[in-house]
Amino acid sequence: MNIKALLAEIAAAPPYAGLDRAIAVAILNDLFRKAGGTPLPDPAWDTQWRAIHAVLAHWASTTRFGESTVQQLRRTQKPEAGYRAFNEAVEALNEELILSNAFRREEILRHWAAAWGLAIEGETPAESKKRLETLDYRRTLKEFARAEESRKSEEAARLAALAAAQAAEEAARGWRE
Amino acid sequence: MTEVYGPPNFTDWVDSAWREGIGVWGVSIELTPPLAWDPKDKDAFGGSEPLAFVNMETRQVVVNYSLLHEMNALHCLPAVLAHEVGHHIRFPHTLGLAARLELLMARILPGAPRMLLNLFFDLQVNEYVGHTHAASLQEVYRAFSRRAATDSPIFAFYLAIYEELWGLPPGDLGKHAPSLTMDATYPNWEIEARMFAQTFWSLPDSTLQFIYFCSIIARYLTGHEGKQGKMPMSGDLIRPTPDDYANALGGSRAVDNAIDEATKKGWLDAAKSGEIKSKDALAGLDRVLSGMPGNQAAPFRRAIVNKHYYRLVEEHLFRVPPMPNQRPPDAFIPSTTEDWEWGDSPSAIDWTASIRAAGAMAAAMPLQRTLLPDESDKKGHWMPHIEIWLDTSGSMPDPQTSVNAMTLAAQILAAAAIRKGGRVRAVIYSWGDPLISDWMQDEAKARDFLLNYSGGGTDYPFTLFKEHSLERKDTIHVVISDSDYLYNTKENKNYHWFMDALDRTEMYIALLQSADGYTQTALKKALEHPKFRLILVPNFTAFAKTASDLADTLFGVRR
Repeated sequence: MNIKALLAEIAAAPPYAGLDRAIAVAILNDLFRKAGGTPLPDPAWDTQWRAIHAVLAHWASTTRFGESTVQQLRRTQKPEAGYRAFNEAVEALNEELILSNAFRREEILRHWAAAWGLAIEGETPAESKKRLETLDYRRTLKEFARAEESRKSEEAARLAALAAAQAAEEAARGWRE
Repeated sequence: MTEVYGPPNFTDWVDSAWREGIGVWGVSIELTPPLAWDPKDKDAFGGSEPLAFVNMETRQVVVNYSLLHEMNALHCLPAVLAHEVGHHIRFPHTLGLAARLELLMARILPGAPRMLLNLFFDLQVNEYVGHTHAASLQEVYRAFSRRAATDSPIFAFYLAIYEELWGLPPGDLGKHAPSLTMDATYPNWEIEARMFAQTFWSLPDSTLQFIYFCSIIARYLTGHEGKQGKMPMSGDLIRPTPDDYANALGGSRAVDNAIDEATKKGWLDAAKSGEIKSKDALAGLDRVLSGMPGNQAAPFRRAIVNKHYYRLVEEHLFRVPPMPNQRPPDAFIPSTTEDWEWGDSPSAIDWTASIRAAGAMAAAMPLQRTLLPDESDKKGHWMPHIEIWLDTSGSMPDPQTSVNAMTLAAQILAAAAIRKGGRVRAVIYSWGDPLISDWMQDEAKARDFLLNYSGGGTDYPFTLFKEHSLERKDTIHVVISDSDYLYNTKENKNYHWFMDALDRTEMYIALLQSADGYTQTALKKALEHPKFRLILVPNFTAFAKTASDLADTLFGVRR
């Protein structure tokens, strides 16, 4: 899967404007059929369905995302386990984030590739893993929460420093102007 | 330039790099090619050497080739030039936007250095230039931090953002001074940089991006940024004009929407966003003018404030004209009758007048009337002379630092009179010698004069009023003050000649902000005088509206 090329194609593709669940499921199931495997059965979709799947289905029908997936998807792949792993990995993402943020688009593509064991073109598995760790929004959010706590605890000192700087500047302005 | 760097065909090489730099932006524009930095200008940069910058006056790109050479980064010239061109043509999109954001910064982060605005636009420029020239930009930053390790938390954080943007290992671009214990002082700062990089460029508009930038970067401000040197290419933002700032002072829906959105996202707390929105716009000017030499700052401030007041005056005087097809026809009146001759328009014939004059021969000798413009209102046209007595005691703010409602009221009256062809004289008083203008017919001059301020106590200059009343008797005098005027009146020992002076006026109007029950008592005698009028303004915010209504009553400015 060529992530860079796919991202460029997604950026140039017609904008996503919602996709009916039944259509999206049909498009994603077709990927498994084309790869010679078995798609996720309907009852399983009831538990595995997420709104972001509709965005993936849109990309599958407007870019080479579907084709790249089919090329590497193994026939023996168990769809339910793959979707479960994928859904867990992308639980912090939603449609809005994916559509508005290039980093999140790259992340979801990489999570998709990781869930189905698809290789990323031009990268070793270790490099792909490292890049995914950097992009992992779930992890970033957890760590960022700690940064937020630190920031809040520093708030008073920061405001005092800024006020002192402003006061010093205003005092100097008396003779400058 | 005393030395030549780069290949032997230096000029061609710079020219080609310049074209490549412009080409990055995919536009076809003509800009003057870059000039070489003159080391003699070092003092203007506080002794430091900039890598490249835009001359604020000439808007000319200047490049420090010797520094690039020293940094072994001459081959990065196209990227450096693309960066500078980016400031010219895309970021900021307009200087009005730069002015708006600068004033917004003064409200979100009072005390923060102007350099932050430059860093903000650099983020936008570098992300774009990085699509094609990321490696060169990285080399420039690396080389710069090799020369001197940064001891500024802001710069350390700032470079970490680029490391995240370009997928570089932590610390690849910026070397920290050993004294800069980022991990200990700012725990989790690198993850914050990652989050920033993954959020900032996905935001839909510059104002929201800027608020997000301020909310995050605030953590790394120490209050000493001005003394910590500069990032390469960080002193290259063109300063907006006074017009840009004056427009920005008027506020914008885009800014208000961005503040609301940022509050919703938790980047500003609700209390702070309310405070930011309600802050007096002029209060942010101190930040704008900081770092500007005093002899430039004062006129720059005056120009901005003048235009801001002009806009406020217009809000109270200007009325949108009706659509052209709804415009009433110009006033015409029929002339006296005269003989109609061949060649004259048949529609000009007044048949009633013709028949009355010639009876059955009317058809042979018709009379005509022509329509002439009605100039009756121009004959004996009253030219208002208005003398405005403006109280600028310490109880009101300096109009240059905060909107002064009484100054604005005076400007509205002055503008209205001048637009009606009248003349205005202003007396600005508080304590001691008042400031007296000439009789003015120029609106801008009057507005500028009325921006003067004295402060201190209030002492209405009765003697001066008496002198002025002797000069001409067709003047409308308007005193703009508050309850201090009542105390001045009460203490006036020469009330009898004040009353005499009132006789010599067209009208004397006291426009006072006073809810004081004492008003009627203090002005009892004056109120008995037929030329004295009292207008009480309920609060300071109502001054402008009251002045506008008064102007309309006196001069019919809305008609």
